[in-house]
Amino acid sequence: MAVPSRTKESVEGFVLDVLEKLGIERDQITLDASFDDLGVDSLHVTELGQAVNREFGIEVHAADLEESQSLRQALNAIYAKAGL
Amino acid sequence: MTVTLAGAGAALPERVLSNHDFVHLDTSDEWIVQRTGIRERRRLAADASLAELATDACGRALADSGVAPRDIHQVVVATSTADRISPGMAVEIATRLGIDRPAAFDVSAGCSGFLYALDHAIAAIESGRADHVLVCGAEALSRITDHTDRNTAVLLGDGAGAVVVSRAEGGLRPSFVLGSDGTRIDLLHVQQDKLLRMRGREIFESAVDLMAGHTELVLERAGLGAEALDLFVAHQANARIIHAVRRRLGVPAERVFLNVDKVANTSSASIPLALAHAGEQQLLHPGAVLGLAAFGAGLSWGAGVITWRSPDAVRPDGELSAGRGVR
Repeated sequence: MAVPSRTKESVEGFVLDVLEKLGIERDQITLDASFDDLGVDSLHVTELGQAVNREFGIEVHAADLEESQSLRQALNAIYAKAGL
Repeated sequence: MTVTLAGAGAALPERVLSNHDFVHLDTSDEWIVQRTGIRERRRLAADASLAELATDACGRALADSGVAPRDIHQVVVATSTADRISPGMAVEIATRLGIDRPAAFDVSAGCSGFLYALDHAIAAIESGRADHVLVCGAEALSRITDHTDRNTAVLLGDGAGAVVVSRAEGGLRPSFVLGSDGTRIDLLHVQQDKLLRMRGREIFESAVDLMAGHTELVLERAGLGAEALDLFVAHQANARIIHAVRRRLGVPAERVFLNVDKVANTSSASIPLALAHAGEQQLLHPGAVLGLAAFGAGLSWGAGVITWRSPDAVRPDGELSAGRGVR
């Protein structure tokens, strides 16, 4: 299976899809909403990292996303790992 | 010739600890349920015998299968918390059940231990060394729990489960894979202080990858897709791990068995306990294709596909297997 192109847009769109599959209300998600308010906990973030890893081949692990408290912070951590 | 699971049995200690029993550790029912799905766990009395509990589970598995004790050729017990270091509990259990001089030994492979023992049983039957093997998982994890550590104390429970593994005609040939990686011993171990230590988030990450990846592998080897699974029974460590694996595999929630809410993580007892509880809930039928997956200390892992009885199984007493409390 071809690896989807690694752009910030494609990663962000994918991350939104994953959060929705994890049961997070899509219309509540904004870049700066806190994960606490959204009900996103550390295990969701870990699962998110695994999904990004599989989809884009970006080696992002639980430890890389440990400090992320919002979608913007998580995306920035992923972009940094991917060199985006 | 193939090999199937012919019956299952469970035994739990009477004492129930709810999440509210752990509030002194600065945790809460809400936090534990949200992160783990665990609501309660059982605790074996400090002076109680784990072998006795395991014997109860094994006796129920024998009764459920209809296989007579005299027809059991091997007894294998997966455990890390046996009553004594040697001999293994299997010997004592066999004698208590009146199984006459079987090959009997214990297996230690952390939470994957039951699948290691089951894989051995299948190989013994496939190679003609045995017709029926009793496989038990039994743990008193309270013996190795740091009761002051909120990160692990709430997760662990005591219990025993067992299955009878039998030669059968018809049905799917079992497909199993086992593995280990000693470079990750530090993630989950019990050292000489005899207390279990783990690094939860990293375990979560590894557990999901290992169980999903190896379940996909055994399905592929069996020529099956995930849709062929009638019931997916994974090691009951944490409901969140199981749901993450389920999403990876594409198995619908209604085909995933969960009893972690009632028993917590019982290590090598977890899968046979879950199978016995699934049977009690009428979720197993002859010919049902079961997906099994586990991970644990080592790291160690295992996954397998096996059927619950053969579709046309006739038990030794002549009764159709479908007639024994299963649909």
